[in-house]
Amino acid sequence: MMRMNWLLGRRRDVGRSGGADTTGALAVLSGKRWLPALVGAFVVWILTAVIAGHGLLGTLQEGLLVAGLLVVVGIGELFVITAGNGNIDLSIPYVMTLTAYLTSSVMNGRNSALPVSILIALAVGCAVGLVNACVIMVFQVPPLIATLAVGFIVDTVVLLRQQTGGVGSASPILVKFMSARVIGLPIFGVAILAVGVAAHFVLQRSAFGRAVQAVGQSREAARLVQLRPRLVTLEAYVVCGLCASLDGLLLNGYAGGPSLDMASTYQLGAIAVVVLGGSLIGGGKSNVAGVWAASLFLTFLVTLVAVTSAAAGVQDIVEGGVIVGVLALVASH
Amino acid sequence: MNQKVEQSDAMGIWHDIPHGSVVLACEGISKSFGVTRAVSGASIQVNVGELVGVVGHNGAGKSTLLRVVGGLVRPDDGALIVGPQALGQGGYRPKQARALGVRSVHQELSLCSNLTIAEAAILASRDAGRGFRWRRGAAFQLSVIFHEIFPDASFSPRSVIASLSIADRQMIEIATAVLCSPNEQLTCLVLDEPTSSLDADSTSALYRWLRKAARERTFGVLVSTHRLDEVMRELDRVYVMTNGKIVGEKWMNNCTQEELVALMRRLTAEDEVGDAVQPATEQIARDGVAAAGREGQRRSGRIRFSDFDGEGLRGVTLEVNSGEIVGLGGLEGQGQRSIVKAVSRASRWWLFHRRARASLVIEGKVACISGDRLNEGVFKYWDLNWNISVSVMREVARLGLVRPRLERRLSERWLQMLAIKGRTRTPILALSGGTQQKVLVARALATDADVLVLNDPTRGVDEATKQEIHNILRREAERGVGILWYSTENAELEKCDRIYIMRDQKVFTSLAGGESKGRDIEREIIHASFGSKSLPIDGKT
Repeated sequence: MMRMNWLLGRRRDVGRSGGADTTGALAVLSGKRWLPALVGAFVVWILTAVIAGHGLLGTLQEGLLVAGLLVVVGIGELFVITAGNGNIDLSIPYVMTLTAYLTSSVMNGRNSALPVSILIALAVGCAVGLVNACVIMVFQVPPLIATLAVGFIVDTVVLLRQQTGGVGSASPILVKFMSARVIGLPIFGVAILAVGVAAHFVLQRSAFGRAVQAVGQSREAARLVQLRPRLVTLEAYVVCGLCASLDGLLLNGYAGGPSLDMASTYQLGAIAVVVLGGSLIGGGKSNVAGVWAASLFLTFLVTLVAVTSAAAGVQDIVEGGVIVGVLALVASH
Repeated sequence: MNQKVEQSDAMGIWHDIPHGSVVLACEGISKSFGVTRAVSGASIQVNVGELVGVVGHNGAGKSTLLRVVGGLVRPDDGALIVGPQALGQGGYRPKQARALGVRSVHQELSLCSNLTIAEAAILASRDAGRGFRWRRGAAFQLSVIFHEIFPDASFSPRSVIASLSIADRQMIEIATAVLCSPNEQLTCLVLDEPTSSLDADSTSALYRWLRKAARERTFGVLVSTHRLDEVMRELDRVYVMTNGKIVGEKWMNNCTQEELVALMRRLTAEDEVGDAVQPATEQIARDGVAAAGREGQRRSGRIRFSDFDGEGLRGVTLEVNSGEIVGLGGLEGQGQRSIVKAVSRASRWWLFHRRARASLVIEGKVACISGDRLNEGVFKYWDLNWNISVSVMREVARLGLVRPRLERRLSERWLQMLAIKGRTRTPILALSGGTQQKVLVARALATDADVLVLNDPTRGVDEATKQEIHNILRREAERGVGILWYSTENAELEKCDRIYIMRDQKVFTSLAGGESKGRDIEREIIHASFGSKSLPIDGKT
């Protein structure tokens, strides 16, 4: 992977000379911070296909599906992280699990209850986002702790719910949506691609997206151009909550039914795809394409490490090492 | 270097040394921060037992010079001599300064606010307390020196610094600075605005002690202050600074306050650059207005404070009418920024606006420009295009989505109008500070605001760009825009139609502006902001 350096190493000169006098496709690509993740995803995809023996297409089909689930929460986290000032949302997996339990028992295998459960998911996401933002802003709790605390409260609700009510199951349409394929491509994966494009437009082209970036770069400057940093941050948390709860619904459809630790890997996953994708953890600069590339990369990497029959410890070391390597590449420009 | 030495020779600084031996001398000290030359070629000396002052208006370079002497800032050029030791080029570090017996009391109070007084004392002098009961030792040592300086004041060593009043903090700060162990010898005590928050009694107590201790313990005192009556009464000799240069040295036994004020008057930089720049920018201004086709569009905006009390202000009453440029002057930190903040906040929050309706009325759309570019101005990851259009998202967006071509056309038009060197895709940080500031001006003007609120907008901006910004502002005022302008530069306030001089979170007085009739507005501003009663504002000429 280090061989890509020659390709990526020119970024600084380009920036200094105004960005206009780039030469050729390589130079254009060298400005893309999502490139390391994408190249990584590509390499790991081929390796996985070769080692696991499912073929390139088969690996991609499954990868798109799983990565799509990660992309949704990654985009939510992206909004919050882009708002800067240490904002981060650690309540994502708990919100996902809660939504999965609630909607699953409402649907209980019936298609007719799907619209209601979507509404429930939206309500849960909206509520948790609001609570997160309020705890952070009203009680001045650092986001890292505030969202984790809110997450634990949500988690307790899940436990109580699981002890008292029936589990239920996802509606057949939802399950079908998660598994259906058209000309070999999973519908869900393609739909999430569209979601990614939409998120890109919201962040880069909408007034709200620009406001989130502006607040992430400088609260004071944002204030002076008549933006309201606190309101913008609150909206970002609500967006993140909505992404998490909708993803919980989808994950429920993918898994067929809820379980307590179904979303635990999304805690770090959501943050990792944001950072691996080249968005700044300090906020102000976001990259939706990077979230997609990083989600594919992480998904393939986990698959690859799982299919090799290496010891569990070795698997973790390889996984961590590769992530650090890609992050170093991203940071180098 | 040669030039600087000649300059000081001409002023006789290095000749006719009055008496005593030199404890500290600087020669040709220069220091720049970015494009701003804070101190250039300053030479001073302090003798044993002598109380030497540095006076000058805001931004004259006093603090920077004192920080160089105290070892906090390393000069770009120039030599320092402390006692017998010549330190050569490049100054020294705080630790070295301390070892040589140079102690500083800073303008921004520097004690750690979470510590108790005793703990702060031990930080200042490690030898003050030893062993298990070091707090008690430090408290005792500090109280000895404290009562020596301020016999009528008292303190409790266990109180936390943050809980002290600003005056108490200042006294503790002075006492900790002079806290010495027996084997340490003070050579020079550097005090930056030590009396700005002290009352009259503590101030005279401080000077009484300085006078006595400087003779007995053989050290020199270098002090900067804004209070001229204090200078006249307490000091032996002052250096007058203007625009980073030392423009004069006066012995207080044969000098009047009038003479000092006359010396402090800034040699306005336009005298050097302005005339050459003027025609070009006028041209640009005319073309710009024509290009935008905005000549016909009149604006009308007003701000009115009547007995306003928010933001720490105390009963402020002021008014900005349509087509007027109103300046906020006076010494720094007298409430000018609070006024700017109040307007910006009131314009954003209708709730606040309603609550303050009686005392703060704003008519029209408000746009703000801050001189603190890095923190309150640029969006550092964005190009010029986005940096300009962020203030007018609503105008360039349709159905919530920005129309890129509309956005770019708008930005291009503003880049052209203000003759900004750079293209829409240039990252903003690739530009110089002055050009960045012009982009911020463009951003504010793009909103087509009725009221412009300026927070020292030309801070660290070069002369030519400053001129351009002044012209742009005048042009906007002619269209009927009301402009409230806080500036730390008096030369700039001359461009205003009216100037409010702030003191102590209040409007102290107001001056009519206008450059005509050979008035010396700068002198009037300095008079008003130092505001000593013995020196009434005559405005005779």
